[in-house]
Amino acid sequence: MEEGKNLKNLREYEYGALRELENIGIGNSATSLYKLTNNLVQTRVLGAKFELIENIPKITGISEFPVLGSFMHIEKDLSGYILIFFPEKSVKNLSIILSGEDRGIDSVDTISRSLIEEVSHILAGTYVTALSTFLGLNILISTPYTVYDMFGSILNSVLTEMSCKTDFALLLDAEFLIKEEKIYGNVLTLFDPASLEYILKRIDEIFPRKSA
Amino acid sequence: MTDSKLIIVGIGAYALARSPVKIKTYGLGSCVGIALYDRRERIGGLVHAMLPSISNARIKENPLKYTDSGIEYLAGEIVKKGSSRKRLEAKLVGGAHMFENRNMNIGERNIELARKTLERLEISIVAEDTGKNYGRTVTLDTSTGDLLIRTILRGDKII
Repeated sequence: MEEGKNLKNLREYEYGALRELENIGIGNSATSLYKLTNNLVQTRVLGAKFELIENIPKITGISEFPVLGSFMHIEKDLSGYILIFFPEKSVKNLSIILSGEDRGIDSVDTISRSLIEEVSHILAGTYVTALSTFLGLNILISTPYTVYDMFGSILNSVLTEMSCKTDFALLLDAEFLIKEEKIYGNVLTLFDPASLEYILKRIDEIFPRKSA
Repeated sequence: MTDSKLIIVGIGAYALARSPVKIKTYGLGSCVGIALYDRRERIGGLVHAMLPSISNARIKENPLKYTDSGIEYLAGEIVKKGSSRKRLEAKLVGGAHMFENRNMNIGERNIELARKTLERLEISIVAEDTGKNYGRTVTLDTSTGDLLIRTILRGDKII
């Protein structure tokens, strides 16, 4: 795991570049969501951090709050995961907009679950495509796995799966909000150390820095 | 140890406390929570382990990340605090298979290895709530040894 240890202290400008990358990803996802809902979508980049996998919940916060969570693998040139979380109320509100009917169901049922899974897949797809275009890399996502459960359980399970292969991960944390419709979503992107190295290398190639 | 009445345990971490402190860990999915409790001394501990065995680890600095070494570590610490291995009772929670259509069976392997490790240490398992496909939040009450398990769709229960 020398690669991980070497990368432990990223420099400020590297974090700046990663946050910008995250901004590109979430910004494009927001455009997709705008097209789907015809509502103004606000986004916020919460931060980028390279950490030991077991420390990631300390950054994102951990809760037993119920959410509908979808996760997809990031494949090809980069490797990692993308997770999209919607709280119960947002699932309901988004389902009403997309299906055009209020079925009066408060909990997450099969129909709203499939709808949101599809939306999550589109949002993650746009996110990854934006990164792929910007970095000039070939990045794909898998089909989504979706579950309605505690935020903490979903995140921990994905982190556990990731930790089978690597000890460190780059976390990009972002959120979006449709204020008028009270729809909130959280997008977490995780990359393994080799992918982080590759991303930084690509950024260096695209924006060569003068040596100090 | 602080004088607060509730200690939160993160992933790949543990806590140990005496009555009446409570120890809580959020969001066990495929992870396993192992509680060890000494009824006479009213002292208990909780580990939140991620992966089955430390023997497969690349970095072995954190024994609490793994089920086998996590249990051994907690058992060692609780004995140091004045308990005896013979008096310890164990409860297991978690090891779920969260994503039904995925064939990663980390949860199952975590539970299997937890049982084996406890058997090797001669600590009996007095209760468990494991497997299935949902997340659990667990609180150990060190005054009784009870574990409160909370879920989203399956209600709460005490084991």
